[in-house]
Amino acid sequence: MTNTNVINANPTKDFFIGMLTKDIPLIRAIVDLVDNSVDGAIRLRPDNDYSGLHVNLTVSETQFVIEDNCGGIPIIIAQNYAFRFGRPVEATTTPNSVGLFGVGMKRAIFKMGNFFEVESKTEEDYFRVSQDILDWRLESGWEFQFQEVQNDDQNLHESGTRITVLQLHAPISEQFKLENFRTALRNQLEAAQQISLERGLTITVNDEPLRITMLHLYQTDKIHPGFSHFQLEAYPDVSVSIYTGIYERDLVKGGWYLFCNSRLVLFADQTSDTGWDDSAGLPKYHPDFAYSRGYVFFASSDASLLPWNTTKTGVDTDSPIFKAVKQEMIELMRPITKWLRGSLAEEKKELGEEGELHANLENAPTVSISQLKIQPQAFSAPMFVKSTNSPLASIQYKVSPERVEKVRRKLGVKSNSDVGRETFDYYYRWECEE
Amino acid sequence: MPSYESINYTLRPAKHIERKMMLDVFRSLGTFDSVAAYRYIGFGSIYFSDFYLVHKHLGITDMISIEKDSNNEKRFSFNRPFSCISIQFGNSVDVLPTLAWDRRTIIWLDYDGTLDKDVLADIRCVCSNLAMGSMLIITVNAEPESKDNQTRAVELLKKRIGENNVPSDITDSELRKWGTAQTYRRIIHNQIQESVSDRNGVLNPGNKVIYQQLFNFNYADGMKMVTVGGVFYDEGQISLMSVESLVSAFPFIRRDEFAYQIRVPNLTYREIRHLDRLLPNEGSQVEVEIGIPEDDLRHYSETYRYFPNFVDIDI
Repeated sequence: MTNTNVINANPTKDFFIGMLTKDIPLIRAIVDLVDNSVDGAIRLRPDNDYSGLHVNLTVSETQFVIEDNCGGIPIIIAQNYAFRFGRPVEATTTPNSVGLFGVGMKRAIFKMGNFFEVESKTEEDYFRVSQDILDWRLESGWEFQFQEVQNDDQNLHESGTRITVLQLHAPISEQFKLENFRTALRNQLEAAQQISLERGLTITVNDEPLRITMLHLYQTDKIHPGFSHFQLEAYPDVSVSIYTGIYERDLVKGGWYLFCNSRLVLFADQTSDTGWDDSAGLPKYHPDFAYSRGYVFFASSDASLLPWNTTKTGVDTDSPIFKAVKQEMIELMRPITKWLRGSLAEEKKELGEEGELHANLENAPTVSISQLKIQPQAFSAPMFVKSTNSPLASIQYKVSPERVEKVRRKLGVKSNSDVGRETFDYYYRWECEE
Repeated sequence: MPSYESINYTLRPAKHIERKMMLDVFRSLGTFDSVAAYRYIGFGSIYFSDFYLVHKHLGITDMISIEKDSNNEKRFSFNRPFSCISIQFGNSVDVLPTLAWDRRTIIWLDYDGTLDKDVLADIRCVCSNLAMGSMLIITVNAEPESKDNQTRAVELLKKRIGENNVPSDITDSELRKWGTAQTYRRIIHNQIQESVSDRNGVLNPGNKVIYQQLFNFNYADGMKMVTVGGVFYDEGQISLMSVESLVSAFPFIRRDEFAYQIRVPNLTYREIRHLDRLLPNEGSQVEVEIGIPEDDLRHYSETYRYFPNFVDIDI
């Protein structure tokens, strides 16, 4: 007899698969898979030297493969956690991990295709699981079957994991064909995993290794980046480092970069999430700030404390930790916006062209964040001082472009303002000088 | 300065050859529809060289010339050679989205500038709208960066067209000489593939769009230029589109990344007349004993049907 007082609240598989996969863009789902490999590297090499470790991705019209030598998944973990949807409370987590919510692998697999195989080898054991997902959807249970639990007959030579997805969904296979997709995938992987790459991890996409893109700032004897490092009283396990400064003028790349356990979560954020909002302390992001850079690093042995969202594509703005840190970020960024708007813009306005401050920036030596050794300090750079004793007058007039072009060539100068200045000087020299 | 003020378009021999070669292929579009019923869209400038050919040889009467220099409307309108050409002033990136796309079209985006975001935006716009049986051709300037900038060519290219559009294996040294043209072809091709793929995402099997590249020209009448283009048809029209027969009819058809180099040998009028009498010469080299370099002979026999005749005349 059925108990009529019981309401069935069991999730359906279709709901799970549908919801999980719609919430994440394809590329981010793949980046998530690489996170699992990075976690392997963290477990294997607590000293953060990942040299010799690799993650190889193969992306083609017919299949997706990710294969690493980062330690593998022990059978006990596979049986109880790795294939679970969501991480059970009792699960032991990797300290300082980047995999967190227990959804990454399943989500990525479901997103891409209808058949998967996961093989893993550790020092002790080896397993292989393969499953047709369409079949699995029809079954009532949530289990996956181990196909093989033994120590020989395996594709993996070292401890590591190999995930293969076949029977790709048509739109996915369509994307995998495109070189533009693969370029975008590489670019996002390079950004998201830049710290792991810096630590020596080799990641390849279709045999081509990713490049290390360092985080840079300008540092001279006059331009000093801002820096702050602190812990939060109620969360002693979370440490935060913030670097602010200026770097190459690039409208798209200005703004905040936020890392959680060395994984890039926000890329060049220019929204109110990071304070670019008139009311929150920084002005609205503007082309004037294309020189600005801010890098925030959150680190914790307990990854669940960090302010990332489940897709690791953004920040959890409600996190109390992030709210507290955001204030600090704003304070470290404010001197930069002030300098860019004040001195740098002022100089251009006053001189009618880019002057010494700009020139200093063009030739400024750059330093990568990992090499930067500084004490906590606010950003500082030389101020532009208006010349007070002899204010300069400016002249403006319009002339037909053909005539300007003729004169410009004759003078051998580059800009129209040079044409103006040179022609004025010429007249002054011959007609006014005594 | 607009390029029409510094270059007399009618006097660029390689470009002239390219135009005539493409014209030959346009004729083959007759398998889809009478070519005369097509629409032609181009950048006519003040010379309208392509418009002359297309109207006179194909009988196309629905023609649009997009002209970005809206300060000189009078001059462009004065130079319009046929009444059937409508000149639309504005940048192509603004004009293209306003056009109706329900009819078969031959569109030649013959930019005088280099590859930039607007070019890619134009390609996206055209590829997502073009009627099946249409052709799209893109020409851009592919001069490598100046010496000073050679070591940051990739960086500059990324800035100009966006990081995700620059294939990851491209290095500064690959952007030297004709490498820039090759890379631009690849970027343009990738953009077309991506746009076609996006379009196909919501089409049923059988109606999916196929893009077949036919043109990949490199030439230099001074500046290095690259031309990429091809035909769009759907899976149901595969039988209408015999790429193989085009390939055997026109040796300059290129379906891959290896460009056809248009080279213009310097020959006297007397030499040309002499060689013409020996051509075509199925498969074998034309043999002449008048001391013309072998390369020039080969290039001439490949292009003689399209070779320009420039004569100084008083009209």
